Amino acid sequence: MPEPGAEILVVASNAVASMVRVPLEDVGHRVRVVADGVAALSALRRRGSDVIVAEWKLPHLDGRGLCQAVRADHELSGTHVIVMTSAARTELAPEALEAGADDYLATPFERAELLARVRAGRRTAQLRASEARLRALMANVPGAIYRCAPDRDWTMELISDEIERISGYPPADFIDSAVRTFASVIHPDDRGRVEDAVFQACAAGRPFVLEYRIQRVDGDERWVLERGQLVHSTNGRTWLDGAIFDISARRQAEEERRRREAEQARVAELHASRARIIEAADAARRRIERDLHDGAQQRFVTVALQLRLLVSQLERTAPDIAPLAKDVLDELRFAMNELRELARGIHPALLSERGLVRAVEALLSRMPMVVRLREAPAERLPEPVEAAFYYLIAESLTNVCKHADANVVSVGIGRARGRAWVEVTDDGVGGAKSSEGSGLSELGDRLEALDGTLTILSPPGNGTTVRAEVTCA
Amino acid sequence: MEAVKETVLIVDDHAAFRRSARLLLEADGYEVIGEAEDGRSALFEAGSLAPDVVLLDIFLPDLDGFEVASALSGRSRAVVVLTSSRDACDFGALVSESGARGFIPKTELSGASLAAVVEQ
Repeated sequence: MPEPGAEILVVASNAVASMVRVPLEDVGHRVRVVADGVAALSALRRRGSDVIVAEWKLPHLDGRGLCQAVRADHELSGTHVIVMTSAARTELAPEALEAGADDYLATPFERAELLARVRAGRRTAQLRASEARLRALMANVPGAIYRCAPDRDWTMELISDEIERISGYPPADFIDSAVRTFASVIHPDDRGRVEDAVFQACAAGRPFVLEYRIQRVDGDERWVLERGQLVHSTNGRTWLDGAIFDISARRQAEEERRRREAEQARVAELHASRARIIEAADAARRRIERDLHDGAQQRFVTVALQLRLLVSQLERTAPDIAPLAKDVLDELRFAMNELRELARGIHPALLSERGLVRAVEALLSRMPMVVRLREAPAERLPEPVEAAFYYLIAESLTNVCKHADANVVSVGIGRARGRAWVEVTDDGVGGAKSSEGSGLSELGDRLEALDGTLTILSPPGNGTTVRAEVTCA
Repeated sequence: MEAVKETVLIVDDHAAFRRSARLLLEADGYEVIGEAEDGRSALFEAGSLAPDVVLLDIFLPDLDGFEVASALSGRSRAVVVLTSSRDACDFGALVSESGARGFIPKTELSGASLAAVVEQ
């Protein structure tokens, strides 16, 4: 199948030009003819050619100048240049090749030789063009494309410019390990792992994908993702072909996310541990109250009853000693009252036995003033919520008694839409601050552990409202 | 005191209290006809012994005194008197709602204080 014709530019005097032009056109090439080097360059810049066939001796710009100009021009440098010299001047050939020509042809020449040289030249030009396209593509890939020897240095045959952005070192440093080996920029802690992974994949005939760190020229670390595989080239050599992508941004985002998650977990754990500490403290208070009640108080009760028996016997048999025994009984009663007050302060037994509302009712009945319970839920609240609310009410009422000079005091407890709330309101002097006294601030901690809030509204002269709210499924 | 002694059932999980209370009440002219150490046996003994008075501790290992008092108020002629080493004000309205006749702090227990509550 005949190939479509090539674009040929002939740069020669008329006599030589026709000798070249006719055979080329005969086989279907498209031929342009110019007479000198300057005209050749402007013709090439208008439209590129696959092959230039030029005389060495030319007016204005000769063959040497033309070769040098073509090689120096980025757009034209892929063009195949054949220089014609007369058979008598073959010593010029090396000079022409030195100047950048690809091939030379001695005049006069056989038609077949011309056609063969042009055909070979065209193939070279096509190869160069496709290589240039490949390089352009490689330059646009957001990763370093490479081919290297499967050795421990990863000796590079080629590596694209992107490696400079990633590592800070120019690609030329790595070609043939001219300045440094690629292995030397891999983070020392990752080198062994990279080597093992690549060699294992090669041995198994599998492609590999791995992530590791690179140490940049400025000392920074970059995370890269490398994909590659072993390939066998036609000349019997084996290579690793692959690409290296900078994934530092992704790794950093992952790292950031992991740190955030760890931080959130830590905060949640702190929160949970605070709730556990408060629950444990409440359990301890319940236990201490119970122990006091079952232990010391019961013994005192027994002693008191026995003393009472003794007193009534003494009144009959030894009336002079009886008053002394009576005094002992009275003293014991005082001690028991004190002990009872102490136990009640530690934990109100009714709170765990009968729940918040009953405990609050009993609390209100002990108050030295009338306190109305204006609202209360029918069902019990979770134990930690009941404890927090009870202590809040007790503390608030103590404050009301001490500072508020109030006439009307009321307590409300409610539960609605996943929230439970408690409110202690008085019509006293107001002006209370949450920072005053450790009582309410300790309660603030309790409420926070329950994801709750504490609000104190206390405008001077306008009464005080203490309100707590917690989530309560 | 009448010639016929009033009979009493003492309900408390502390044996020392039951013993002292028995001595005290008997010294003051009551007849203690039984003891129980928890709510269920209290209900059983009250049914079989039919005492005039049940002296009932509030915190028991199984049922509490309020529950026992309400159960008894429907099916026993006995007068129920609650007692505790805690104070009446620790219990708010529970005492009056339970069906018991009244409350005596343990330290105040005597024949006289019991009679005063029973005769209310």
